[in-house]
Amino acid sequence: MGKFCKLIKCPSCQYEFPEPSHPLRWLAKWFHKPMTGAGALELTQLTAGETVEFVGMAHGAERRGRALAVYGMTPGARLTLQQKRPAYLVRVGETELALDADIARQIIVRRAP
Amino acid sequence: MNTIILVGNPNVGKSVLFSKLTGKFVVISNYPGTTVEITRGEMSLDGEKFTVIDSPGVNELAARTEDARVTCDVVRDHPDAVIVQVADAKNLRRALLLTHQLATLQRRVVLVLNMMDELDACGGHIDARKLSELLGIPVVPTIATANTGVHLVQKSVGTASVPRFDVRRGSPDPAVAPDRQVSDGGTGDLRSEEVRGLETGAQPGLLAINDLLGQTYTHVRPRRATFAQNLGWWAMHPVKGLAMGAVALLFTFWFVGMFGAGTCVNFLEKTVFDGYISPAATRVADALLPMDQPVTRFIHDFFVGDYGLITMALSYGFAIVLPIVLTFFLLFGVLEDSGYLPRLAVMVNRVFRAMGLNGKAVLPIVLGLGCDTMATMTTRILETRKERVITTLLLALAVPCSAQLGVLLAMMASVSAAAAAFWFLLMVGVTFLIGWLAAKLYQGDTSDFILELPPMRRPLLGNVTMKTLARLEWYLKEVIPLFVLGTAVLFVLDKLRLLDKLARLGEPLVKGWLGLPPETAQAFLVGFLRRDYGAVFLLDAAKDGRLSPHNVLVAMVTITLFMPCIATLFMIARELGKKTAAWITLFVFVFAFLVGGIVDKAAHWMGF
Repeated sequence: MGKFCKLIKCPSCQYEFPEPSHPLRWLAKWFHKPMTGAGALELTQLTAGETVEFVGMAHGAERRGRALAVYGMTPGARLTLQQKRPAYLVRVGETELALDADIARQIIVRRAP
Repeated sequence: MNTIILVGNPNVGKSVLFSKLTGKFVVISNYPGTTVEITRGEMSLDGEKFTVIDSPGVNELAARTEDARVTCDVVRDHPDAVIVQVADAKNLRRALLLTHQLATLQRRVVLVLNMMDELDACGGHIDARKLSELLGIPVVPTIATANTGVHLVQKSVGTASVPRFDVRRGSPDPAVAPDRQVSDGGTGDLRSEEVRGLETGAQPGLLAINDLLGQTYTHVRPRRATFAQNLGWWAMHPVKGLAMGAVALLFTFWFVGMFGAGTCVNFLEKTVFDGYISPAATRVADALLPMDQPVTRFIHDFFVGDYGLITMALSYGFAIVLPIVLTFFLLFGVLEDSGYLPRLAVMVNRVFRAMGLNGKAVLPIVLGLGCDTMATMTTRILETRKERVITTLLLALAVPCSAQLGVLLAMMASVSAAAAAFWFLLMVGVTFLIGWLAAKLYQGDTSDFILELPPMRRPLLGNVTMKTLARLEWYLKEVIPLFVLGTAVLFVLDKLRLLDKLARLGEPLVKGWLGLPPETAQAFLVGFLRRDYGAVFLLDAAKDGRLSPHNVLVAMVTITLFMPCIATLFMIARELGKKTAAWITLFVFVFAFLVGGIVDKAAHWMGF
């Protein structure tokens, strides 16, 4: 995409559409429905105090996933969500991590059986 | 000579162990990122000498930030060195991730499980002997702050070897199964079905680590939140956190502003210096150096004249600045060791976002209130260049260091509370405005906010004292000589009758634009060397009544926005390059005079 071109085009079927504008994306965030499979949730959907199992990172967040893995946030690890404001606060083992909401949105978890 | 490198996750106690091994003092605090460069020391063991290197903490051997790059470089540059990996025993999983990377590099490792007391307090247990057997390396449990197990670390250096990570070796052992049941109630990420679930698709390293943990780590007691933990959470609560921040700020103001800058300065300046030292020095000088001969008169004035070494440089350095620096560093040491600072970062994260930074940048900025030079180096913990440049700019522009803060607090006494509040709000406003503008103009990314929070701890009196003394020593070595130099320059200029000429030269700027008396030009002149010393001259003028409250406010604003000191300039050049340093300097001086002038005009307009 060129700097002044706002069209997004599929390379295989040639379908193209304009990139959504900033206010539209902002608006869409309010109606945002997370695309997660059976039983899986985004960290943002939990209430503070819940303990869940870390499943993985959302699609496209692999780099952030690696940054989190070094803190012990690996598939199967247990997370406790301490608080959601002013920043997300997650406990992994004995490590307490503060995270931005946009990272928390990409963390996929599962309520433990 | 043999080399030992201390490597480990951030905030696990590498520096504590380093100082115990080598007997050398290093600054130790309770937040990740205290150490941002390597420190070398020596240790002798059985007549053999070892070089011990302390490195900044890393979570993985990848140069994500500048401080991590330092560690990666030092590990790579010493291929034969023994790695003493320091681990927080509570976070064994994270430590083993790093051990695994060291094993991949074929490095000889000793694993130190530090903070065993805290592991015990939270109900965990590690079978160190079994871990040692499985990994094939020495594993030493320690409590470095209490000197427990440190001699065992020294002894095991000789038996260090490359760690083994076999995926298939530890098929679930029925003997440890009961322990795992217990672990469910605790931190419990060790359940066997999870381990099995991981076998498909997970990295072999992770698998081996889960396996090792399953065999060695047990959790015997369900964890209950302690008071320290609750305190730590309150510090980040939207409401309670703000209240705690306000209490911390008020206490700082009371301790440093009222007690340090008020009571202590009054005593030292009025009673000690004006009462005893200066008159005594003048009497001695009068007796030894008669005023009638030009040479002796010159020497006489050099020590006790208007720009005298004793009457000016030392009296300012010791009477006005020292008490404030001391009280500030003392309180700052307590704050550092408590673990409050990273929690402050959580509170301010959102605000900092607007400035193209994330909450982490609050660490160098708060540190800047101690010393801007050291804080400039601490910007290494930030991940992107954009963040480092903006933080450095804000430090250079609007964050007064403890020495300057002291002088400014003393100046505030001569203006109204409203003017002092105006000064404070203006500095905060300038910080946000420039940060916001810089974030808009400077291309680059802001990194993700992922910050590890250290546990809240009770500060140890010994450590806080040592740290304060070390910083005080630095102050005496670094700042006092510059005060002396600045005074000497002024003295020479005064004797050569150049000072008046300079004042006339600076008149359009100082008198015309800032509306200050022309002789304050000398304040700005020494301000180039150290802005706090420049502020001292203004304080002097304010006390003599040469400045009106209106003038004091303008002068305070201008000198606060000056470049901190020549040492900071060199540090910026070292950290960000000469070109960036030159641009920052140019901007800072132009901006300082610009804002000073605007404040002058605005205050006139408002009738102040």
